[in-house]
Amino acid sequence: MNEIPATPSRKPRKKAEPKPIFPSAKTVQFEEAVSEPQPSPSKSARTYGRQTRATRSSPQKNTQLKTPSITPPPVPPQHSPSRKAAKVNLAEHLTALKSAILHNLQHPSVNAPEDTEDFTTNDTAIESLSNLLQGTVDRGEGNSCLLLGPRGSGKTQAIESCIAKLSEAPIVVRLSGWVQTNDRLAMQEISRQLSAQVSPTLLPEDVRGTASNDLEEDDENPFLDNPTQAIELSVPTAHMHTLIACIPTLGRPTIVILDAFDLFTDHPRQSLLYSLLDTVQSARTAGGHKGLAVVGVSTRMDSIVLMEKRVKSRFSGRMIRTSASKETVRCKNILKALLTPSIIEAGVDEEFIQNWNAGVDDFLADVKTTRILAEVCSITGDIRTLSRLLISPVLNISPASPWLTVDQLELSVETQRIRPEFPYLHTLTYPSLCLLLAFYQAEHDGYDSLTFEMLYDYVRTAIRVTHTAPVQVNGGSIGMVRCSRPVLWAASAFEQLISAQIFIPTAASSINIGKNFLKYRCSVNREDVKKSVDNNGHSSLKQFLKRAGG
Amino acid sequence: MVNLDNSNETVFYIPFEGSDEEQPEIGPEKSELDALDGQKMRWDAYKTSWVKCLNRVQALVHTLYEPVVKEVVEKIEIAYDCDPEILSALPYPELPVIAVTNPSTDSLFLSSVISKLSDENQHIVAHLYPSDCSNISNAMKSIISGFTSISGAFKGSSRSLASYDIGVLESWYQAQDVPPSKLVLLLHDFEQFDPGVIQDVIHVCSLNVPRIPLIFLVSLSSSQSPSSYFHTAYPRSTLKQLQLKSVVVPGGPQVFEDIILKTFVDLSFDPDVVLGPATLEHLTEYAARFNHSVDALLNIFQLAHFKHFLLNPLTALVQSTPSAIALEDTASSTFCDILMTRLNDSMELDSDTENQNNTKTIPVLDMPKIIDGERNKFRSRVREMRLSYRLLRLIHEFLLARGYKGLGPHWGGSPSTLNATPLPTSTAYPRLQIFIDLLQRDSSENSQASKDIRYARILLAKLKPEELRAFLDDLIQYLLGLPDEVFDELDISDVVGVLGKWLEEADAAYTVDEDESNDVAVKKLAERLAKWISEYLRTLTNSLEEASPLWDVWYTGMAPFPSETVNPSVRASVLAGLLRPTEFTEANDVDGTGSKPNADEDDDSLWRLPDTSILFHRYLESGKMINVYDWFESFHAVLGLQRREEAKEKEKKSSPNTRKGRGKSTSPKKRRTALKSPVKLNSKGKAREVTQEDEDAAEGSKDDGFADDEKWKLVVQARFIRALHELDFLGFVKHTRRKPDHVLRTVFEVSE
Amino acid sequence: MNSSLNQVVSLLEFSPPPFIFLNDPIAPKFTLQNLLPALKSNTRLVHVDSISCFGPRLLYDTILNGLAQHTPSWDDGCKNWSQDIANDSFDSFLHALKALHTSLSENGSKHLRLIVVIEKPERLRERMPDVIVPLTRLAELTKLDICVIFVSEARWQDIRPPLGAAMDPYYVDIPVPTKEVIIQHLMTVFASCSTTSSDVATASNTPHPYDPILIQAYRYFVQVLVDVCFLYTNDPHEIQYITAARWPGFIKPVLDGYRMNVNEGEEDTELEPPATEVLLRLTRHFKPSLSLALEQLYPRLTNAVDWARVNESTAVALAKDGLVFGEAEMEDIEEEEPVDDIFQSSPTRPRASKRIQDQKAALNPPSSDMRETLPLSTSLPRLSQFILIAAYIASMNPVKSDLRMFGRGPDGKKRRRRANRRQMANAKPRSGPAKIPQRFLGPSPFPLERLIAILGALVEENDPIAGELNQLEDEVPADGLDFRIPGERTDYEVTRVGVYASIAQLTSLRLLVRTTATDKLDGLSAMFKCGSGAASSYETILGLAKGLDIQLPDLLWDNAAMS
Repeated sequence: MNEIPATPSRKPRKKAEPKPIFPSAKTVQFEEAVSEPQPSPSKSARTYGRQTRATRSSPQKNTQLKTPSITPPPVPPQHSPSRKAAKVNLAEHLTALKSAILHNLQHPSVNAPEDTEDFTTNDTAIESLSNLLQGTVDRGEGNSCLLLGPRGSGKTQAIESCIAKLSEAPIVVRLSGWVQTNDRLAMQEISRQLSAQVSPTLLPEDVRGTASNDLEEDDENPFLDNPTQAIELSVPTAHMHTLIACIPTLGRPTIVILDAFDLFTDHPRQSLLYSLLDTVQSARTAGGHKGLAVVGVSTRMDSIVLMEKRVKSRFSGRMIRTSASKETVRCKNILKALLTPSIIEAGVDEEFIQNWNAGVDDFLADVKTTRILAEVCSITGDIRTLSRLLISPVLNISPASPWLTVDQLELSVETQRIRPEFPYLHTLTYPSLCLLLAFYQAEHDGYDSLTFEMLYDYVRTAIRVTHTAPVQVNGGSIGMVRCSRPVLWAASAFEQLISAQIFIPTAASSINIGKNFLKYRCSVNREDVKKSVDNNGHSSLKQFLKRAGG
Repeated sequence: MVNLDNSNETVFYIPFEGSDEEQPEIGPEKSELDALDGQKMRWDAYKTSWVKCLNRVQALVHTLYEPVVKEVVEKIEIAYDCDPEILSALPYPELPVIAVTNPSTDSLFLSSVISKLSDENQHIVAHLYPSDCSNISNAMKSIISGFTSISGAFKGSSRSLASYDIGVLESWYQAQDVPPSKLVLLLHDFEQFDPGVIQDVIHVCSLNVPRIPLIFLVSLSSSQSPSSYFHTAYPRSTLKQLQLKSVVVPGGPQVFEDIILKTFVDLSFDPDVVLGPATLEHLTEYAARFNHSVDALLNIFQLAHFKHFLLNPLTALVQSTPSAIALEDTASSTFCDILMTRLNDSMELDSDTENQNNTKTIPVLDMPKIIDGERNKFRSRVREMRLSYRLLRLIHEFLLARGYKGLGPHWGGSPSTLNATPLPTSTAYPRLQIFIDLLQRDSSENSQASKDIRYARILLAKLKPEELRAFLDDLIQYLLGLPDEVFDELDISDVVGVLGKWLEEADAAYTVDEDESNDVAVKKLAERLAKWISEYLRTLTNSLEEASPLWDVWYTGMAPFPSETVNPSVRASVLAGLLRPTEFTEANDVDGTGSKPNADEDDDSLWRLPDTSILFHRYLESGKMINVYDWFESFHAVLGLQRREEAKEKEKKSSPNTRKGRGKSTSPKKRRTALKSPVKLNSKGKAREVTQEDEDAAEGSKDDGFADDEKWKLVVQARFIRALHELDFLGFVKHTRRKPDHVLRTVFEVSE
Repeated sequence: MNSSLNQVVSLLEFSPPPFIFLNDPIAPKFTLQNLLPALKSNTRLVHVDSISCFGPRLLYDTILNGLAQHTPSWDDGCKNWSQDIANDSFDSFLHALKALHTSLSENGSKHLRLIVVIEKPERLRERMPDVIVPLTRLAELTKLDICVIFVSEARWQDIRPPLGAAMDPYYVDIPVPTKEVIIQHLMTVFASCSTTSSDVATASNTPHPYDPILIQAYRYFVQVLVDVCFLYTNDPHEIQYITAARWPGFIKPVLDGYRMNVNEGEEDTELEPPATEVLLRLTRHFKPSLSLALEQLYPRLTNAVDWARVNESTAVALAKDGLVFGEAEMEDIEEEEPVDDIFQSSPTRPRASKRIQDQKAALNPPSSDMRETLPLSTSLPRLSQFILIAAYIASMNPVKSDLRMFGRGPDGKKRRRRANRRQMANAKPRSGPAKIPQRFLGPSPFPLERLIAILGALVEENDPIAGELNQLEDEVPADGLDFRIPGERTDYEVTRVGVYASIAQLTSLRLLVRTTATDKLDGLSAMFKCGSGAASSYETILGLAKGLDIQLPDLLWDNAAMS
């Protein structure tokens, strides 16, 4: 697949200009094979047994992706006299590049730079949201809205950008349904953040009270440690209401962001939401006070349904949606933005960057890349997922192989997104595979959950059979290697399979039941067992598999 | 003074001021046979002799444990720094665990280990009990506090580490200016711990060794090897973190037997009271079947002692003799009489042989002297008995050593023969059994002991010259090795003299053996020796009952052991109680052999029994399923009879025989009606019951003005229900879903 | 240190994703041992073991103190790093984290990255499920450059909280270690040992097994060992464990030879690496003991030190293979015999017999993987043994079979059982899978009465004493009960207090297990079952039965399944 000839996707100018600082294509390919344990997928079929890289174990998984890449490798540059030196500063260039890119990948921006012309949903969302907040800040309105959108569609980014754009810096209270699992915690947190952002004198003392009342006597019982019991009693809703009601009096407009909004609706009586929204409503009427905006952020589109009636009645009903970028083009743009950082200041010479960008273009232009990206985008628009896909290809960039290769992308897709059930199955130890096969056979006999004793019996008989009727394979008889009971039982085989959740106990273990009499079921499907045994290539195990009725 | 009305107190502690009015209850109850304050004497005698026995046993146990304790302590010492070559190469440090298997329930062993650890070498020992380990945090907390408590309790605040954080222990350990070399955590009865919790505890601790030199000392009572319990109860992931060493505390039958032998068959120790064959037999059987722990042994010993002193007023004389004055006191006249008669009988026995001139009555004044004499005589006899055992064993071992079969399989020796034959449990303790045989040797020649002696004689007679010499040599050496008082008392010296003479002869014959004469001489010598030995053994093993007229003071003899009080049969007792309730009120014999049912007069007529018994009798007569209504009817009938009878008794108690007649006449009828199973009790039968009942009632109403049957019926019903529920509670009745008016029998085939 | 670990490290150096999930099904501990030192360099790292942090409070304290590198001291009452309370809720933990970060960045260290490595996160799921989600989102919650790494043998989809609440991790799959990796690891171990124990060596001029000179021999040995073990385990730590146990014994002859030469007076002799043929002989000699080591050390039937001590190969054995180097007096070692015990099998046993033993182990192994120093048959009183057997029967036989097994008519003569034939009969019309024999399913619980009843039958049949007692005590019937009905006497014996006491004692030994609550007053329905391990293993019980000459197989309902 490494032949040179030009292809339609290739831009003509590339052919003209040489890239002297790059090593020759030969060396690239060669060192690639050496430096990375993973052979290219075409080779995978042959060298299966030896493979350790988990992600290559089940070929059928990536068949839909397996189309010959038509990305040509970079043109072999002429050998420049200062090759070594070039290599050196190539190396440091690459590290600089890598760190920059990786940094980008960690903080991806949803909005691709180019697509200013077409007006995406997110832009509308940002606009309306900023209007809302502006209203709160400037005109002291009380506003409430829900910001809904799938994961990674840039909700948080939208809010942050809006807040950043605001004329006057408001008080921002950020709550997360994941952390503030009940109203007491939420109240503590609110008061903490308020007291952090407002000079304490402004705070009404009861707020300060709650702010400081969180040092209660130390209870050693760990089950009292996670404060989930009897909370609603500890902060009476009425009290909480007054606390929240005095937020608008704080002298500066306040924005309360409720991340994972739907979880707040699980709190008993939704008292926090009630008092927040109630304050919002009253703030709208009451003059003199500063504005208060409550923004609920959630991935659940039906969040509004979750609100109780009295809460919903106080909610403005305004819902702003963000949407993930579905079409591949935008993905590509975003990715290109991510992948081509501006690292001039790192003292990297122009030429290198141009080459790099060109390489990125090729990479993105590749049919296969497009297919992968299209597939990913069609499933999830989560930009973080996309960037995560790119991490390992970027990491694998080395002076030896200074390109983003599609194979790498494929690999990382398999690692990060389409994870095979048990990647390492075929590399399990011999005893473990014996047990797996025993289970396989048992399932064939119609038992779905087994005790160790039964499995052991299966293995024992299997071993005995091989030794009574030795199978002649290419000359030598291959009896199954014996493994004593302790090895099978205590040793890796059984307990490792359990700890790896391949065998799942059907009943909770207790002292009364001996471990060898607990029932387990096997979470590996028969196909995978077969395949792993084939891949493992232990001939006697294959015999076992045959006998096991596979 | 505690104020029990104090409502806000949850617990009251009422200290025990030794109240003196209970003192008399402790001792045996006064019997008219006692000497002046004889019961106190008996009580003291009991205490001293029992304590003597107890101390002996405990001393023995201690000597048994000593080496093991040493082993454990040493293991703890060398933990963490044995075999550096290996330990340094291990993937991660292991947590040393020393598992002590201690079958016996006493805490003697552990306590001695702890004392040794904390006294001699400065280790700190903390304890962990299953009750502490309801969950991991409690477990960790109690572990940490257990160690740190010596330097003040740890006050955890919300700004410091939690008191269940292992970090506390570490920082504490770092803070010690003279850090203890090891921190030993003692986990008491380990089987009771919840493995789920413990395996987390182990994990946490193993992460912190050897920064904190923790050592787990695990006390198991399960009798297999400690590792086996770990392997069954804990996953390998936990085992991986341990360095498991196991120690087994001696216990089991062997130890048990040793202790008994060393207590009662050892020449270096004389118990005040010698247990007789009966008690020892029971001891062996109980131990073999139920429980061979040292505690059980002690219990039985103590009970035997107690019973011995309780029943026999003469036992006041066990250690000391009351002064003549005390004996002269009128209070102890009966006591003296008993003594007198006993002694006189014995006098008479020998009086006819020699001196006629002695008076038939012994003056009270020299009675103490005589008694003391008897005591010494008996003691020497006991010693002789033991000596005989020793000698026989000596012979046996000598023969075994010479490759002969010895005195037979029951003497042990070659283990193969011992295990081959299915033995009755009594010979689970063969050595003890032999001693018992010796005790039981009577003049009749077919007792086991006599057989052994005869056999010994035969074997000895066959000895080859050289063997003969060796044997004599051994024998003399052994005799000379005896403790002095025994040596003097049993005047071994002349025995040795005789033997020595023979030995010389044997040497002479052996040194110059060419011609036949020597062989013959040696043969003769062997004969003589064998004969002498058997004679000597016979004299030694004369039964202790004939040792002294007062033998039963120091010897329990064939008096049965109250096994039923130690180990009664619950079910049987319940049945007996229901069948013959009266006997329990009458029975007053201490040795629980039970008293015969006095089946002479009509006391067993059904109506005299309490309700539950009546119901139970009917129960026994019914079929597998009982129709409750029929049951009630039959019960009702009996009560009716009872009512009439009582009425009769009230008015005319003059003529019992007529009542008796009627009682007899009625009861079989009931028997008959009830005997056909109530389930298929047809209406006719029922009708007859009822009619009879009616006329009974009518008669009753005639007799005395007890008119209203309704009330009576209610009473009967109430009593029936109550009795029924008692049976139900005792588990005699099982209810069925299908037939609510029937109940199932749970007990069958009880012989009345 | 394999490629994927390298990737992780470099990733963490550049700019890590907020949440990484390291999945290592084989040896997470080993991976961590490699990972942590590599990260220690330029990041603030804390390694949390979520078993020892069994409460949220412990978790928070450990993380904070670890990141602040603050060790609480006993004298100031084990104060935590953070002055204000940081462990009562996740909020305060977050605040403390921020405070920590600011304070750290204040005093010097430029842009520093916090890394929290959490081992065994699957335990978090049981203990504090609602902490997982915030942990995965720690970076976005604190708005700090902080990376959380989970290292687990389980898969993320088994740990992941529902509703996709948690962030998607950046997956890293640690490949199963290959032989090469393991050998390399072992060589590093050797290096470290030779450095650490060198001072010991210098103290006494006797060479120690980790003398650098021996490294080639060690490499050879390790290769052999790994070849033996790799089939069964690929956990480097396990193989390291076995190596640690065997290597000193393996090289001992060489060292002894050297020592002897030194004692001979040739002080100048220098310890030189053993010749290959010596190595070959050593290998031939010790090969059997290697697999033995696997069999015994891997399941931890014994620990390394003891095993090494037991498996010291005797001088005679060595001499036989000509492995006594230096001029040794052969005659004085000739007489002592190598111990050939099944458990302390001296490695000298020829391989054939070893294999035979293996076969035995493979074909009819002890059903409970344990060796008993005190066999139950001697350590338990006679009646307790009966009880155990009865319990086994009760838990293995179906209830309906009892009458056929033990029932006897009023005439006292026993009925014949015909279990197996009907067993075959109703086995034939088989719909679906055949019924799993009870011995595979383990003991089933039984009521106390059933136990007592079966016990009674057993005693009646097989206990001479009960019979002899009949004769012995007939003249004096206890409690006035006279035993006319056959079995009455036994019945009496079997319901003694001692029996119940023995049952209770067996329960406390976990040989029996009481399945119903002990505080139930209703003693009638107390259910028991055989404890795990010895009490429920056919072999053990069979042994007991033989001791009491009971024909156990005849008393088991489907003894076809047995053996």
